[in-house]
Amino acid sequence: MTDLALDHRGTGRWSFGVLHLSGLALALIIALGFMAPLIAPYDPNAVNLLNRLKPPVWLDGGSWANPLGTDSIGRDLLTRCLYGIRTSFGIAIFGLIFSAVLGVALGLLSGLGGKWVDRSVMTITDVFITLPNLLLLLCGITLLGTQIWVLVLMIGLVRWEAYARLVRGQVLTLREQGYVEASRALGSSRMRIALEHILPNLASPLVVILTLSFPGVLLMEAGLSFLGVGVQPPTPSIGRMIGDGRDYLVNAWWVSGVPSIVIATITLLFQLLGDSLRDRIDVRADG
Amino acid sequence: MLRFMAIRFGRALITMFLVLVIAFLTLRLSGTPFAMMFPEGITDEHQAALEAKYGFDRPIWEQFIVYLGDIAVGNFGRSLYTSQPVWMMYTVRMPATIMVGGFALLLAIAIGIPLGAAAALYRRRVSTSAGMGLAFLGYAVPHFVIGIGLILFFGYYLALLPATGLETPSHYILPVVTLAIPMIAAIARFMRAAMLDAIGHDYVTTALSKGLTDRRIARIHILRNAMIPLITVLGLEIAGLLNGSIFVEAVFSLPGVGRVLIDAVQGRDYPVLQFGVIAYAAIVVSVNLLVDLAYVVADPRVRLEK
Amino acid sequence: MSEQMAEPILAARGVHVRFDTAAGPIQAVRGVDLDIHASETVALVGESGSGKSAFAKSFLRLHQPPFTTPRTHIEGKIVLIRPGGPIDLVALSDAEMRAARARDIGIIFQDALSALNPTTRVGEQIAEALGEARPDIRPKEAKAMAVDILDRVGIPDAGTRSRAYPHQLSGGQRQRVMIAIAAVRSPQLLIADEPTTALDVTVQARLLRILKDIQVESRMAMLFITHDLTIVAEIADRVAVMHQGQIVEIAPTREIFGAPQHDYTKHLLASLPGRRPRPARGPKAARLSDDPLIRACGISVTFGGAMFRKAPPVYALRSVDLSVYPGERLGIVGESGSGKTTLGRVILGLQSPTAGTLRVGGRNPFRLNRDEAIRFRRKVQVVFQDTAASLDPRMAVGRSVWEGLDVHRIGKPDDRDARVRGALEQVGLNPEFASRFPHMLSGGERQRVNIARSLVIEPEILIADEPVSALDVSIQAQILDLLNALHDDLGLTMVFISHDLWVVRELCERIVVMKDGEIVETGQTEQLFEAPRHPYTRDLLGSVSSLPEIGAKIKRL
Repeated sequence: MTDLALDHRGTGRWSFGVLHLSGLALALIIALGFMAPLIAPYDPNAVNLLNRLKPPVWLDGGSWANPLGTDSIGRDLLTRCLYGIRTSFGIAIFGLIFSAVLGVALGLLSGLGGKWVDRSVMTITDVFITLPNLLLLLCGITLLGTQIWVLVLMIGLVRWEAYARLVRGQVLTLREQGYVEASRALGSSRMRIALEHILPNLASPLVVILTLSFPGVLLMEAGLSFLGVGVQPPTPSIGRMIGDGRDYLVNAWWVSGVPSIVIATITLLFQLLGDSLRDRIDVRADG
Repeated sequence: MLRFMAIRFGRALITMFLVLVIAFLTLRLSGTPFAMMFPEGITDEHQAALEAKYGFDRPIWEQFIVYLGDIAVGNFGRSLYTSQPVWMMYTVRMPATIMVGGFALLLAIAIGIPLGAAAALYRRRVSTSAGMGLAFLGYAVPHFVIGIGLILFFGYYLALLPATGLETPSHYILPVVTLAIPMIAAIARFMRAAMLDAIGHDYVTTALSKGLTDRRIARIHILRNAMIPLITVLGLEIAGLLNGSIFVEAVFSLPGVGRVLIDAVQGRDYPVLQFGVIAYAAIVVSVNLLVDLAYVVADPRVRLEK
Repeated sequence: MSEQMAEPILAARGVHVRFDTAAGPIQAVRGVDLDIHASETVALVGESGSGKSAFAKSFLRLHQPPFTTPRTHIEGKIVLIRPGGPIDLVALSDAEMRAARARDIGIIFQDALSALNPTTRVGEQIAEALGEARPDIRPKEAKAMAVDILDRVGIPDAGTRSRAYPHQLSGGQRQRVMIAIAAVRSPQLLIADEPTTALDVTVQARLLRILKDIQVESRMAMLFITHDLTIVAEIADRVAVMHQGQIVEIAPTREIFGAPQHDYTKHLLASLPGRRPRPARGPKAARLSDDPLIRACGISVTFGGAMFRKAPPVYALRSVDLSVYPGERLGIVGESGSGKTTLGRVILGLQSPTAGTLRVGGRNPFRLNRDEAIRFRRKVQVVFQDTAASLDPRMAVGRSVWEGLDVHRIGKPDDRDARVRGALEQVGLNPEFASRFPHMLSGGERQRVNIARSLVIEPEILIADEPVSALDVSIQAQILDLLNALHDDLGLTMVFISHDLWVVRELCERIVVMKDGEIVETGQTEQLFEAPRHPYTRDLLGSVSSLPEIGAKIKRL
């Protein structure tokens, strides 16, 4: 108690507030996205060439009919943003689950299996870490096309190695803990130790790292769509909307700007949530 | 130490070999290129003749050896569309990417390290808090959103800077800044954490007990130790530059390698894409080796390992 | 000695130290007065949390690293009398405080590995301290003086070693570097904050000698902070006993040991291993005539030495023979790296030997099928040193105790709770503890839970690996009493692994001394203490003084 190491952390109250506020805001945004078909004012693909490039309501010429304005072929931006959130979150959540399952399984295998299992898994992990995520994604898309399941599959395939490393590192640390030794000495089976002592102690760092990496996954999809090689029209996607709006930046900034603000807000909120979670739960991801 | 580097080098070779295996297999999985070359269709005999000519009828391992041999002599194949050698397509585009990436890296180091260090040492100052707040924004927001924001504000609203192309030096400003912002954020955030970690160590208290000035403690005892783990982060950032430049080149319509890659994906021009993957993996592997070497130089605990 | 002291060089009056924490202020030091005279050694003794370290650090304001928000409040007066006239350390400006740190007071910390900068050569770290204290000295001279002081603290080949980095030195050498850093400036006062605690006893003894020599040569006063009363007797002129932020007793060393006044001092002395009456040997004392319960023959354990590795293999155990008889309490004593822990792990069946045979209860624990292995586990149980790490932080302690019952299917599910509560009571804990989590318990309480977890499945053999080393002396004594009582009540066979001869002496009938993976001596406790045969055993015994010896020493004074 004599040395104040406490000084390096934010005070508890502040991160408490951030944690809950960002969590609530995200829950609201996700809920709105998934309720898009119920609450969106228009059909996301309803073209209205008479009503093209309408500015948002707070600018001259805007109206409540299209609160966030319309794009180059007169589609309602609010509607498309809501549907876009749904698309992006859908792909990101399934991609994340896929990669997490893959990573946790391989990490456990590596940490609890024998020496050679560990070595082979870690060699594969090393290769995957060396390969750039984006280029792997591009290869996969080139081979398999741009269907949504391909995006989910590829996102899962390029993200797992971080989780595998984390899980392996944690398992190696946990395995040396006195309470695991004590449990072994009691006669507990490997399975019992893995389920009773290792997995529960893995849960919280895993939640933190999944939260921290979610915006990255979301941006993968958005980035690919922005480049034109992700979600294909007419399916609404935030990234695609930003990319398509680039041609109108000079006189209709909102076509790109509105979806940009949406995606920036979402990733910022996630970053806040992840940071404040990490402040509460110390995570060491060294493999 | 020599042994350490030899092991690292061996591991790098294994990684490169596995990358080549993956690249080769996916190239073969993508099918023979003839369908692409003759969109109107070809006869079976013609197909078989072509397969024999290009060696597609040989066993897969023989094809792999031929493939390795080609790569060893710098023959990476030709584009399925333009028939240009792949190598050429990249070299003409490389200067733009390297220039923008290099400037961005320098800018990120020049701003990120002092910002992170100051944020750790002077936590109570408004200026450093504001700096870290901005760094937080830069960390969370993607390149293409930053780029579009900068274009709208500096390019169109203030009309100060050109928004597309790379003709004059002032054309470089917005893309370089866009590429640098997330890097500045990452470096500053890491630097701050590493400094705080170092401050908490007992050797800093020892330094304090010697009656050293704060300035000397910060320089010799905190900064020197905090810079060592930063090497890894810099390595990751250099490797991540290409990722970022693909987006920055798309936002600002720059004549860099990013465009080549995206066109290859959209046109399923696999030989072109494949070169990108191999070249990128080679860059990352070399950077990792350099990082290991830098550790050897910077950290006596690694250097003096038997 | 101390009676003739004239002027104190340091006089602390009414010192209070308070820390602001997120959980509210903590009053670490509550009104301490202390005088330290020139060339005198004052020992400041207390258990963890007594405020001894917080008090000493307030001389130099070292409670917090630089560049952190101030959360420490020091009140009172700490007057240092120096050639230029007296100064109040509490009232100094930051710049004046820097000068005082550089010139007047040196400090040595407990853990030298973390207290030395890992990326700076040790010579440079010494010269740096000198440069700040004596700006008149040129860098070249400073370097020469650094080599000189390294030589004086007994580092061989000081010229070469001054260019080494801390990780290249041994633990004892690193602590010598710390002494050199503090002493090179010839301060008036040297504060040594638990300087030998993490070290092996033989290293400890040499280091204390050096510290004492340096102190005498440089005519420094010393404030020696420790929790270990046995060291105090060796080097202190006066002893101050601290408890809950206050000095409860201060007196010349001889009086403290001979006629302690304060109850807490008496309690501390009474808890000292070696001072306490040797427990009577009950009827269940070892039956050496029986067949041994544990018999190890030629056990070797080798680590490393794999293919492609140039590093030579490490021999943790070299052909060790050992027998443990039913009902016996056997002590295994050795310094770090002696292989004692590895031997314990082999007997537990957690580490398979590279050579040799082991029989526990007539069976080889490494050649058992699944069911036999589980039955074996029920026979041999263990208690580790690290009380916190031994309990799963996410499990209520009752569940940790319950786990063994479940593994071995002991009792019906509904009477297991009763057994858990019974086991907690048996180790002297309120059964209510079952629902608490490890972090809510003190170290001593956690160790009781660990013992309960081992005993609830009714083993025949209990292996205790340094079970009290991490605990304060008074808690140590309680745990040792508990283990004694459990042995007598349950007729347990115990293997007690420790680095502390006195602790082992108190508990065990027979002792095995280990060094470098080998057993160098085995004997009955009394016999071994009175007539050690192996030179290493004599070394070990010589480096720690028993209280009777201390008494003799003090009488000679």
